Amino acid sequence: METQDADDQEVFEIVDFTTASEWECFIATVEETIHEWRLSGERPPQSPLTRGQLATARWREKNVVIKFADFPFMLTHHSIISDTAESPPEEPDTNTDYDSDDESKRLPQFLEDMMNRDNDFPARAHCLVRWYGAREMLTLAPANPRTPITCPSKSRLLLSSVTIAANNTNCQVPLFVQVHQGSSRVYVGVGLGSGVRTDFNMVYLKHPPPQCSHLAGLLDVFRSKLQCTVTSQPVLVSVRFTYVLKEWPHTLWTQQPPDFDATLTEVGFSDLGKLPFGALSDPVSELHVSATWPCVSEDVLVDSDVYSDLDPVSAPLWTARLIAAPSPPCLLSEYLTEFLDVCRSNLSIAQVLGPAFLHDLDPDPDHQISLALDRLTKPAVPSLSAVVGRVRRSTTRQQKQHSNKPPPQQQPNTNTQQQQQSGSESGPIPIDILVPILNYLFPDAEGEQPSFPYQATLSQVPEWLTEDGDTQEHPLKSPLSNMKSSGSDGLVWRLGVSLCHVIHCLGGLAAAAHLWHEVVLELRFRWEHCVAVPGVGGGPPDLASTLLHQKLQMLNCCIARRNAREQATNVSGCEDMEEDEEFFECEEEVEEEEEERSSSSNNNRGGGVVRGGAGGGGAGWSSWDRPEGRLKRCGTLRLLHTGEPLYIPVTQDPAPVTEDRLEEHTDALLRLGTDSLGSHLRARLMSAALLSDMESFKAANPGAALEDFVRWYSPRDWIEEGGTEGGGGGGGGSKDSQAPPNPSSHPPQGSLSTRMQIPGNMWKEVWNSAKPVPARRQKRLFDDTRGAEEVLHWLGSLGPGAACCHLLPTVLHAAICRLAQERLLFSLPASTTPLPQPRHSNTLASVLNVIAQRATRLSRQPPDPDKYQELVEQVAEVEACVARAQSVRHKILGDNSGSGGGGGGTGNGGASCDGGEGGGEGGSERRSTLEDLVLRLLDSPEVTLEGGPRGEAARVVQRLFQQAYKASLLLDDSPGDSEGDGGIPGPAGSPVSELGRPVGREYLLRTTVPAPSPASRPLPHRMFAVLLPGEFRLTGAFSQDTIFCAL
Amino acid sequence: MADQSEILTTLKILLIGESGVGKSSLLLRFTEDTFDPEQSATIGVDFKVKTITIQGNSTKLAIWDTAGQERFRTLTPSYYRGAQGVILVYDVCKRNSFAKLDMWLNELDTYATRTDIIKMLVGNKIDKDKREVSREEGIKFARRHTMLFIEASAKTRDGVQCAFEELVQKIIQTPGLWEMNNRRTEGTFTIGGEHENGEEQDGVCVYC
Repeated sequence: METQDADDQEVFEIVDFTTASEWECFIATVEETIHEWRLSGERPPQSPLTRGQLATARWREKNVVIKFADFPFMLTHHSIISDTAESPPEEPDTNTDYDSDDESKRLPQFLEDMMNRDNDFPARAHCLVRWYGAREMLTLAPANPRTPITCPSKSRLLLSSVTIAANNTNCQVPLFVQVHQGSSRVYVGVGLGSGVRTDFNMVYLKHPPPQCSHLAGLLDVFRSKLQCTVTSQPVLVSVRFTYVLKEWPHTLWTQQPPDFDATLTEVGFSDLGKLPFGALSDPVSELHVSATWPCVSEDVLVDSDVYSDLDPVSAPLWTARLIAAPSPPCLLSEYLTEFLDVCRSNLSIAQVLGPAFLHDLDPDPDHQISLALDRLTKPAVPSLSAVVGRVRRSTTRQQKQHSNKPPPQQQPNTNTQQQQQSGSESGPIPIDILVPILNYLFPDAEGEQPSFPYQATLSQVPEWLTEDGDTQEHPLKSPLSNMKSSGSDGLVWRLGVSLCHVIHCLGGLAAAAHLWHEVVLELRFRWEHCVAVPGVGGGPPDLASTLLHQKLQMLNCCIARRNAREQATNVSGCEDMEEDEEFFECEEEVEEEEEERSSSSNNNRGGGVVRGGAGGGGAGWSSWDRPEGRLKRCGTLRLLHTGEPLYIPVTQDPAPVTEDRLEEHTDALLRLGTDSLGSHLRARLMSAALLSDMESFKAANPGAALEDFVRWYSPRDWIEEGGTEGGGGGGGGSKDSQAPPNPSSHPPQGSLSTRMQIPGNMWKEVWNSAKPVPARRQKRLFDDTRGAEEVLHWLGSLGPGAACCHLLPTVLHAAICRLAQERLLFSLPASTTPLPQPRHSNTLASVLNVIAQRATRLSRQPPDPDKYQELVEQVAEVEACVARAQSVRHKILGDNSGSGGGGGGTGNGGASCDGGEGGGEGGSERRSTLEDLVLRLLDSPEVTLEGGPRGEAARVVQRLFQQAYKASLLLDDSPGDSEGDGGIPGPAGSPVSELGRPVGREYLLRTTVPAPSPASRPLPHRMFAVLLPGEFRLTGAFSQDTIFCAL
Repeated sequence: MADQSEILTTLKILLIGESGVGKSSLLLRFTEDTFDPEQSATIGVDFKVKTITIQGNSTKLAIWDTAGQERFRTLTPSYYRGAQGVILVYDVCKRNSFAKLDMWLNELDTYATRTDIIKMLVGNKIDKDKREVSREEGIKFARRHTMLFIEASAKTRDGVQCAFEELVQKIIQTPGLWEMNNRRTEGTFTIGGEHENGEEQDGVCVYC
């Protein structure tokens, strides 16, 4: 019908909106939004709120900006996400089943929610939800909080606008308009539906009027507003008093930042290898305890200006909540953040420390002489004096040059300043601290018995000991096993951690630059003196570690090669080795040999065995084809033509390569293209190793042919004839050709595979060009001098920031392992804060696992401080969680067990109290109750204390309050004042309870009476009063029957 | 049908296995659809590029062919870095090449930088008569090591195309593998999608 009407109108009448005012447009937009969000009309009733649902459910917010003329407003829809999201479709059916006639009388949802008794003081909810108990509402607020609606007529205009919109759309969701300053949270609102209009109004004052500061007065206000008669239903009252504990006299929680000087001199520098952990200030700022009298009839409680029986001890329900300090400063996260800051710097060492520092890199004449002498004497272990001497020289020189200049890049770090004032050194790191650090990084420089030697093998995760001292698998082993980092407690690890320390304690970027500079010097010193770098593991660069680690391994490879090379020459003593000489060929013989070789290979090709006889006896080698560089016999193989045993030659080791060089090499190969020419060029590039092997082979086996080489090198390409397998087709061959079972002296019959016989194939080509040169006299495939210089250049060109960047994965790795050391972490629930939420578990341990996985993933990408920022924040979050838990445990349990690295250590007060009350057999049970309380306090916003005011938990809480009270007495002569400044002037008669005076008082009054006239339908009304220090708020929701109002 | 201009991603694929099992021949068959009985023995590594389209996604494959000789094994593994897929080849007519598979897998675990690399086992030269390794054995091995498995012949072209396509498809279905690739080139990093790859790995074993 209606739609028809509308159609008719559309067809026959012109509707003119051209003159619509801005106000009308505004209303229309609001209406449109309400339609769009499907909030219009009556909607199927939702199931009643369950206990505490408003606090525990998740909330959803939808926003849209609506303009009134040019003034933007934000219209927001708040609603809870119902757990039973699937059930609503069913509900209308059930509802219509049992009372379909009730449908018309059904009050709007918000009125039912308003009277719901199970959600009186939600622990965590929007303020409107707290005041009115609605599960859903729309709010209209200025989009820009700096332009509040302060003019009463404007607010009335807005309220009328939304009322019209609600009316037009039949929207049953209450609408609120925010007025006054945003921070004062003043709303006016209206709710319509089922012939009821509910007005939401608010009184907001700094101080409560005297008659409103107690229940009796508030009841009077409520009743008079509703014109209640004596006969009407009693008012239901809920009251909550909240007590706040801010002082923790017996549980001081301050952790001094580690004093670096003290650490080094007093404790030794064992702490140097550990990242610090823990909160610097108490991460728990307040404990709130609320005593609640839920839903009682008005005549049960007496609370007037002269007398009150609202003593918290008599309250049936006690709840507690923790207020965590917003972001407690924690040591580990501070260290990491500062480290990240340094990573962002792209200054070079010279720019940070001034050019004078780098003079040390191009050594002065004295230095060069001493180097030359050092090289002659070749100390087995680098003398510490040499190292320190260098350090000393550099620092003293620096001191000289900087004595009248301001220190470079001064950080606002008191430590540094002190040191620079008091100490005799002017470098960022004083010499007496620098030396232990360098000794820690390079323990072998310390002498025979270093304090902190490296372990023989570096593992990815540190050792994990159980409480009994057994070794167990580290809980983070699997997520961290693939991390592209470096071994736990290896050189790179120690360097990362040490850099963290010096950055934090000794002056940020400048200190980092100084330490890095010294490390680079030390590495160069090690190369020059052929002393291996400790703590990076042997072998070729491990591509699964960080680039920095690979570079150090590379340096080690170079040092090892150089050592081997120089030893070899010392032994043979035939040639005076100069470092940069690359060819070690004998002079004249080569040519002869070459001639001979080419003729022989020609002969071979022809099938003749010319040289067979010459070498046959094996005794009479002429000087020019004496076999050289034999490693061992190759099984029982004999040369085809001479019958001599076939020897595996000593070959050159493959060139060690770091991933950046490898990438360049790969790119070079890729650039050659995919056509056959490219393939050919690639093969030629790759054939260097083949050539080297062939030359060694020829040297070790004079008279050998390509066939012999192939039998060793690629046995599948030698096809034996008449053997057991026989007759394999082209490309096929005997499966066990590697160890032919043919020890007989007569040469085996066979031929090269087809692919080796192709004329001009690369193998033949290389074979023909190969000269018999033993590996040690060949051109080196890998030039250790160049390799080392490359590494040292790379290291030297890194500024402190770039060096720290390369250390980022390792530092994160160390930080994650540090977190894991806090065993308490593994019993904690995951916090709901911005941490990543693991899918199937909500423990903090699983969060740490996710972080570790993330760090692992990140470690495979080029280090980028910005990407690590998020990770550091997450680590900080976990640290704060653990620190908070330590603090709470400390307070509630009075122990310090969880605080591992924490320096709190003042648990005695709590502990002694424990002893007093513990009482024998109940002890352990009591303890587990409290343990549980600790976890719940950390996990949920508000915790019900089991057993109310008489429960175990309440007793602990009361004790904390008493301690604070006693301490305040000691501190202050006028205890009343010190207490009173937190509390509000309460009713004179209210007793000061053991918890002190309540800081906040909340009164919730509800009733159902007919309004506006006695003949109207009975409707729900609600008034909520909040009394806080310096704030009084009275919010009322008063309903009117719009149908029977006139009667 | 193939939209050559929009290449979804570039994948790096390795061909490994004992010498003479036909790695280069498989590659030649796949990329150029030819067979060269006189294919010379690979020295070090070589590679070929081919773009294929699977389910409308164009994917560029850089296929790295390696030399199988033991001596080259000091050289070739450095090129395993960053590969998303690997084809492990054996010769069905040479038991020895099958027996060495464990060693090759070991090599792969040691040198491949990704742990979630997709592995495919290919039994080559099924055109020949003297088979020494049965299909069942191959399947068993693949199952044990969660690999894809197929038998093929580079000479008769049986199974070659299918092998590469199946492997690529599998890689594409494992987002962590190739999104990472994209991400690296774009220089962005999101965490959202990464949770997936841990869970999608379980079903890698598919037999065709």
